[in-house]
Amino acid sequence: MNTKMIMKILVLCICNMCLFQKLHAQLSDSLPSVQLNEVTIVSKQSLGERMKKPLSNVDEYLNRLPNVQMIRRGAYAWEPFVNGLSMERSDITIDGMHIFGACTDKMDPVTSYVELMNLKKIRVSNGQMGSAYGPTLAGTMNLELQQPNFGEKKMKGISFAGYETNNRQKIVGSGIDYTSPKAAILANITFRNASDYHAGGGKQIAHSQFTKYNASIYGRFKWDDQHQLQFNWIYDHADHVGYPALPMDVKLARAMIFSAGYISYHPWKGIHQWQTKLYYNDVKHIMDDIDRSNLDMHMTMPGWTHTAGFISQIMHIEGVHHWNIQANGYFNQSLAEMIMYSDSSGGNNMFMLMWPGVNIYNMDVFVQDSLLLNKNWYISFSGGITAQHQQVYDSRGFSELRIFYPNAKKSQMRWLKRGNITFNDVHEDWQIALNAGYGERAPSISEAYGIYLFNSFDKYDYIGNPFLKNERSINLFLNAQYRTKRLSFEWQMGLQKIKNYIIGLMDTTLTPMSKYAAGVRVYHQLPHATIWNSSASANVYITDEWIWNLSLSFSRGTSKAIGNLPFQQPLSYTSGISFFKNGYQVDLTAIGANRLRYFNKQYGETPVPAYIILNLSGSKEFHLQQHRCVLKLGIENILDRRYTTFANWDRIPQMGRNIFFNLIYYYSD
Amino acid sequence: METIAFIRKHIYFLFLFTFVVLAGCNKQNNLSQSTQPQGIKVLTLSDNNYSIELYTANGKLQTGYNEITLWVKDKNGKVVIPDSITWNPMMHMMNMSHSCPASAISLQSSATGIYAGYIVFQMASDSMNYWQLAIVLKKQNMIDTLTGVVKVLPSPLQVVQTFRGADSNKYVVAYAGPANPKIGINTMSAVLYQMISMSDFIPVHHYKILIDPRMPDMGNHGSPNNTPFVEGTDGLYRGQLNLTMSGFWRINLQVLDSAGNILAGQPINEQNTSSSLYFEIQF
Repeated sequence: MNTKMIMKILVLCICNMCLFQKLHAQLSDSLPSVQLNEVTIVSKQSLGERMKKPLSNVDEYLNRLPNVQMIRRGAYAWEPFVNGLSMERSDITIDGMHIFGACTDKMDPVTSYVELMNLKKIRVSNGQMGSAYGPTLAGTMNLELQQPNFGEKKMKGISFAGYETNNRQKIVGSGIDYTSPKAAILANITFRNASDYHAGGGKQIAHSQFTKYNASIYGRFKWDDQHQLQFNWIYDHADHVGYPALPMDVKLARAMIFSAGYISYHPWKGIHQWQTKLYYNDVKHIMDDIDRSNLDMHMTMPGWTHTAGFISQIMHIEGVHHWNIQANGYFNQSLAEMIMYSDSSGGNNMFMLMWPGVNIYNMDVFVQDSLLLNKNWYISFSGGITAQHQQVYDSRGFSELRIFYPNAKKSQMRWLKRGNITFNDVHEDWQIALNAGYGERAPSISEAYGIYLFNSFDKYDYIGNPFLKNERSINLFLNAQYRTKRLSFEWQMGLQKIKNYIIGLMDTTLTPMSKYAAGVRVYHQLPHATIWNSSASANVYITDEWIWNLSLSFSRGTSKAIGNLPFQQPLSYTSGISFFKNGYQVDLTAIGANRLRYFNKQYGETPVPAYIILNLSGSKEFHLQQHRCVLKLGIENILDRRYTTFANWDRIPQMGRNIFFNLIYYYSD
Repeated sequence: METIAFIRKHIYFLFLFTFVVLAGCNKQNNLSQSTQPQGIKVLTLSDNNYSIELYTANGKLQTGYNEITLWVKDKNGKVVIPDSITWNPMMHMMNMSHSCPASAISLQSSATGIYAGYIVFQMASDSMNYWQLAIVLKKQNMIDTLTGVVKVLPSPLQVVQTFRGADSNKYVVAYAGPANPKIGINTMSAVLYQMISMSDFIPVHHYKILIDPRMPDMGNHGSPNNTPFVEGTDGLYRGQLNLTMSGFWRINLQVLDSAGNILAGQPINEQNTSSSLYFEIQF
């Protein structure tokens, strides 16, 4: 206990959670909003400069955001929870494009199909505030792609390499950036490979390895100042990804993401910008348990999604009004199968559809107006409506579904409405934003149509329910910032009241299918659920060399019917001190959390003790023949503590002591 | 007006009547041999006057329910329709013999002369015991009996069961369909006979069969919303069989009499994973 106290005192410090957004009114964008959390990945050709470990994966970047928690089933493809709610409750897009994971067990969130080099930044907005691309309850996460820029003819490049001792992770990658006045191209590749990691104390976590390849190319062309064409292609491939918390691993997770767009500046009088994009993406995901021993039969679960869509957006400025009018639509097809290789029953394999083959036709319109009332006051209104048509297209799947729901219909139509109002009061050294929103969402494919989807956390098989009503949320978010030369402080608070909260409830009349399942849960709705989350962070610039940082966050969710909602973050903190001089940077950071007090046993949660770990890292920027290099070295979990968090599926322990190095080399002609 | 109303009301009967008359006329004409009985020929019985060809879907006879189509040809090889036709399968064992449940043989179409019926073999032929099939034809007061030994193969799955009910009667229950089950909702059928004597089996009426399909390889995983089997107008018992996935299923049965008393079979629960009465399917 003493050591803990000493440590807490020792690390009464700060680190570099730089989530502050500089307020700059860009005409090309909608008006700035102070209520935005974002993490910058590549800016001005620099990769993750502010990160202690720039070559972390996208998940670790996201984990820095105070309103995002990453639920971990292993070392790879974490599930982002925005404002304490699961990923189907936020709208996660890549440059506004919808893409859907093909895993019935949420082992491939959208965020797992991109790499650092694909992205410029990730913006996460609360509630319906940034819901330009579709319906959402908790918030919007848009993964903004890194674009090449027009300019003087020039060729630039980046190469990087990293190594981590704990899981022998090797990271290598390279990118080139061609700039010219009329054409710009950005291309890059990244490779990662890791073995099993070791928890604190040295225990090897079996089945936690992964291998990932990613390549992307982005091209932009313009023939005059008014017209531009752009295209983008991302290929992301992961194989032999272990999931220690699940009974299965991933043999393949592959996404291909294409888009082609046209931008026109000032096409008509008063219209600032009009851009239209067509996109297509294709995801294939195969789970299997071939690497697991002691099984009397093996199985594989492949899944596919295909999504094609468009986005068209007009920005119009008129007096104090900043209009953003947007239409987007997509068609998505999802199917997942299970095949069990039986040797005890005459050699016939067992087969079923886990997702019965579902088509979704989605059309959405969104209108936003931001008004600049005076020098300090911005008000922003937005509203959107979505028409979503869902259809079970596979006759086998429909027949399966009808076993449970004899009256199920092949197709259904849903209307999803959303609206938001934001007040911003902005001053020289402080600003406040208040955001009130209303949103609805349709049940996800698993929630509406899933058949015997095993949840290894609560050990139940889940059956979808096509008769679920839309989930609805009323929410309020508050953000306050104070900034002086020596101090910056930010506080965020969110309150969400959800109606028809979708959750699985036990059905004793059904027998489980999965070997490990204790029973069957069918998706039903709770009348109400409430989520309250808050975060605060402070930076103190003690001197020009020393910065001290502290950030705190927690989330609390309840519902009368079941008590605590699962996966709520206990009070968690990060505190660090950073030192800068002559191109050197040294950071000492403490990361910890209180014990998980509010958990739900029925949904597989167990208590989590409090923990605190220490990280130390240093970096040096130098030049090699006029080319800039950044070298970062560090030790994570210095004391090799064995710990787990509320976000660890099945309470699989986190990584123990890990020494890493990241080397990034920038070059230009 | 009344006449029109009458015709309207009975128009179907008029049609049927016309059809029967025409069909009756047709009988005198040559039968078309272009339409063969469906399936693969399994057996030909013949005597000096006639030959009878029997067909099943897979060209085999197996234990359990066998749907059989047949036609009768005269010595010139022309398909004929006898005045009556009956069959009698007999199992000959070392020192005894017994029959088995069988339907009547009914004419499917007078245009083709194809008959259909089913036989439920409770056991397979082997080196010591054999099945003999006798078919009796009556035409113009002449009676012909054609007999032959039929080979009944053991079905790889349990599709027929003989049991003594709580009422002390002996019964035979057999899986009748679907021949090719699919994932999802199936209409399943079964036949239920009471054994009056070794040579007399009669279909039982107004009973009920409860089903509980399970996958023993999958921790006895079951499916919901199956419906009890009730007797249809054709004497077959039918109900809804729900199969959540392909593979090996055991369909546990309980047979209830018309008063609702359980005659045989047990419910499935944690302690009891299988009924004593069940069918097996595999797909």
